[in-house]
Parts: sequence; C-alpha cells; structure tokens
Amino acid sequence: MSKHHSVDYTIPLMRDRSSRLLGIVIGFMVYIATLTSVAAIMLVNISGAWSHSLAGRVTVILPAPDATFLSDSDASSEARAEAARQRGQSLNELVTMLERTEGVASVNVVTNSELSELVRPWFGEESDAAINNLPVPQLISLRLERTTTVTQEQLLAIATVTHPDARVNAHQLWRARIVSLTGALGWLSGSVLVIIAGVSAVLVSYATRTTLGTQERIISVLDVLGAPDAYVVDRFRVWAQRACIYGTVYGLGLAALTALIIMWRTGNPEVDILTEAVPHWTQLVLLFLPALATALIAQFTASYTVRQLLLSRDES
Amino acid sequence: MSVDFLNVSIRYGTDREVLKGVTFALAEGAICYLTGDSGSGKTSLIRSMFLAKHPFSGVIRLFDEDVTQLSRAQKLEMRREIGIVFQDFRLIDHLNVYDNIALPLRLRNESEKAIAQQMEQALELLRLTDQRYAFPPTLSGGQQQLVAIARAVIHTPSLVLADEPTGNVDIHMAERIMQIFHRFPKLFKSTVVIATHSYSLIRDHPAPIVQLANGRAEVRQISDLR
Repeated sequence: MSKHHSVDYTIPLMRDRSSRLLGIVIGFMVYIATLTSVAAIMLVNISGAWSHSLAGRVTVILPAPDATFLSDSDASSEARAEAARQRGQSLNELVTMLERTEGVASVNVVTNSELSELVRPWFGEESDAAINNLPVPQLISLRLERTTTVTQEQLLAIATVTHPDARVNAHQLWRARIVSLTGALGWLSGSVLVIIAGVSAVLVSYATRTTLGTQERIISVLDVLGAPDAYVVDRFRVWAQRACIYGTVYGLGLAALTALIIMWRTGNPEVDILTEAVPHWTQLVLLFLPALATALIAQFTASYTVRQLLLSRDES
Repeated sequence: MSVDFLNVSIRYGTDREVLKGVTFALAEGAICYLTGDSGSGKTSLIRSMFLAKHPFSGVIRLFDEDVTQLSRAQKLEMRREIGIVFQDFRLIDHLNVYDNIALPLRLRNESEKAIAQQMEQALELLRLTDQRYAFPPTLSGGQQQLVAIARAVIHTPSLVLADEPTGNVDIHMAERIMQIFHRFPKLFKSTVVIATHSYSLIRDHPAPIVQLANGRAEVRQISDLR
C-alpha cells in the first residue's frame, strides 16, 4: 500500500500523543470490564454449585426422647426396651411414609456412627460415648427429586403424624438467600459494565476532541480543499480502531494476569470454592465480549464525535 | 455567470452587518480584484465565495447554482471546484511539496499515473521541480506561496480565490505571483478573484475591481482609483 493511502498520510494521528493516551484509556476500561465479568461469572458458578448442592436436601429432625426418662435409674429395663421399640416402630412408619411421598428420591436415617462422625470435631474420641449418653435428636436425611413440588410444610405434616414435635430443615432459606445475593451481585456487575461503557464513551469523546484540536490546522485545510467528511471520519475511526486493538490486548493480558495472581494468592487446596468458580471455556468466550463492546463503543464514539464537530464547522 | 452575488448581507452573530446588500457578477474566465481597507469585509466575501460563511440574507450563485441552500456534503463537493490561496499558505508541514500539491487530486481519487502527469506540468509552470521533495518549513515564504498556488489550481478549478496572496512575500515574488494569477483565465478558463490592498500591483496588472467600503461593494476600474 502506497504511503498516501496510509491513514496517517494527511492527518498524523498515530504520531499524536493523545493517540497513545486513548490506547491506555481503552486498555484500562477493558481491564476493569474484564475483571468485573470474571467476578460475575465466578459468582454465578459458585452460587450455582452451592444452590445445586442445597437444592435437593431436606433434614427431618426428631427431638431426643425425654432425657430424665433415659437417666431415670428407677425405670425398669422392660419399660426402656418398650420405649425404644416404640420409637423404632414410629421411626419405621415415618420412613415408610416419607419413601412413599411423591418427589422424595431417597430417605436415609442417620445412624449413630454417622452422628458420631459429625460430632467428632467437638468430642474427639469421646464422640461415641457422647452420642450414646446424650439426648441427641434423630436425623432423617431426604434427597428430593430435581423437579419435585413437595413443600417443607407438606413434609412437616407427614413427620408430625408419628412425631408431633418433629421439625423440618429444608435449606430453602439459605438457597433463596444465595440466589438473591447472586442476583444482586449480577445487577451490580451489570451496572458496573454500563458505567464502564459510559465512561469509555466520554473519555474517547474527550480524547477525540483533544486530537481534533491538535490537528485543527490540517483538518481546516482538508475542509477548504473539499475533503468529504467521511474521509476525515474514517481516519479517526481507524485511529480509534488501532487504539482499541492496542488497549484490548494489554487490557485483557493484564486482566488475565490479575485473575491468575488473585487465584494463586487466595487458593486453598482444602476448600474447593475456586474449583467451582473457575470459568468454563465456554464462559471464557464471554470474557471477550466486554473487550469487543469497549472497542465498538470507542470506534463509534470517535466517528460520531468527529462527524458532529465537522458538522458544527458548517456555521449558519 | 461564474459568480453571482445578489443583495448579499453578511454578519457575525448579532453584530452589525459586515457587508450590506452586495451585488456583483463575474463571468467565466474573468479576473478581478477585491479591494478595501482592513475590516472592510474582503475576507468575509472570499469566505462566502468558498462557502465557509453563510450569508445573512441575499443569494449567492456559483456556476449558475444557488449555493445558499446547499447541504454540507454538497458544499464540500462544490468546494472541490474551487481553488483557494491564503496569505498564510496553509500547507501541511509533514507532506513534501509533491504531496501537498497532489492532495486535491488524491481527494478526488485520481490515479497516481494521472496525478504524476498533472504534477509535472504544475511543477514546471511554477518552477518548483527542484523543490518537489522539500518540506514546507524548509522553503521561503515565496516558495511556500507558489506551492499553495499550485495546490489551488492542480485540479483546474472553475474558480480561483486568493486572499491577500502577496501579503507574506517580497515584492519580486509578489510580482511573479500576480503574473501567474493572470495566466489562469487563459490556461484553465478559471474565474479568478484576488483580494488585495496593494494598489501598485493592481496598477501593474490591471483588471476590474470590486471595491468594498462601508459594507457596500462597487465595481470600478483602475482608472477610477487615486
């Protein structure tokens, strides 16, 4: 391509300092937009994982039998055995009813050894004895089908048939809170991206006006020679495009580096939260959208600003 | 008519009118001077002729077309039929002489071969062949003005406007520049309008005069002047 076809031939935009400034500004915007998107995607992933793990779990809690009765040395062994037999029978009845309930995928009575494992962090080696001697509640863990419509109230109604003082912990509240929090953070991320887009447009417009000011003498010559507005606009569009490529490359690179450093500094092998949060490769494609959007906004803003300023030259 | 002003008034903002009811006409291939004291409105009249200043009232016709109602795109297109020379040259410093002069042709997307042919003639006519690769800041004021004139006429415009073209050059170069302008009507059939307040140059190169005074224009001959 001959030199006079170069975008820099008549208006030396690439040699202008503000052109470097525009690249830096766009890079910074791409950097913030990409990190915001990474954060949003990771939040969605974490919340999805947590929400999924909580979604189908319900625990039915049957309070422990009267502690005074268990410790009453006067109570005969027959009476205790009878009480234990009745508890076992009502437990079996409840398990059968729960298993027959539509939408319940499985019913698991938490055994003493499983309970012992649960309390081992507090009691250590004494956990087995603690479980046997303390009035711990009986737990029944339910796994619900993904598409179930059964409610916490319905399960409670079933449980209270055999155990009037039964309680049901459905984790729904936690799940709802997580979903609500994720939604709020999603809106926050979206708002940040919109603000970044607006700020980008303002900064590009300002940089374009500054550059038009420094190149005013040449542009007035082109105007006098009858150069079509599209000729000047196109030079600025290409100028913004190149600044975008430069800014996008270093903005994305810097964002990737920052994300890696954050993951390296905060990663804990015992907690797999980051494993759940790491974006899938299909989501990585989404990370290019803010960069692409920033580039398009910059090009459009530069072209629009130049066109408007050229039109304003045409005084009445 | 090449240039036709009918009752044209020009004002800036809400200030009083710089020109009031100016009426004159120039035939194709005519040459004339635009004279008047400083602030008499010479530059405003020149600007309205290359469509950079919209008249407050009246009608301006260029090449038999009313230009007061043109869109910006149409004005730019019309400007490509006009060659303009300024007192301060207005060359592009980072382009050499050849590229400065060739610019109007490149804006018209002419082929490099056609450009080269026209360039040779223009460089020869203005005796700039040796300076073709020089950059404007390295040239004298007179040479820069010759480059500006070459750029203004390289595309053989129908109308050539010059706003104080000898204002920044010595008397010998001014003489040469006037000779060059007086050749254009014959060479290109261009209508030439030269704004100047140098009566000595007008006497040496006579042509009709549009004299501006008190916002009015009056067509005179050199013999009418003191």
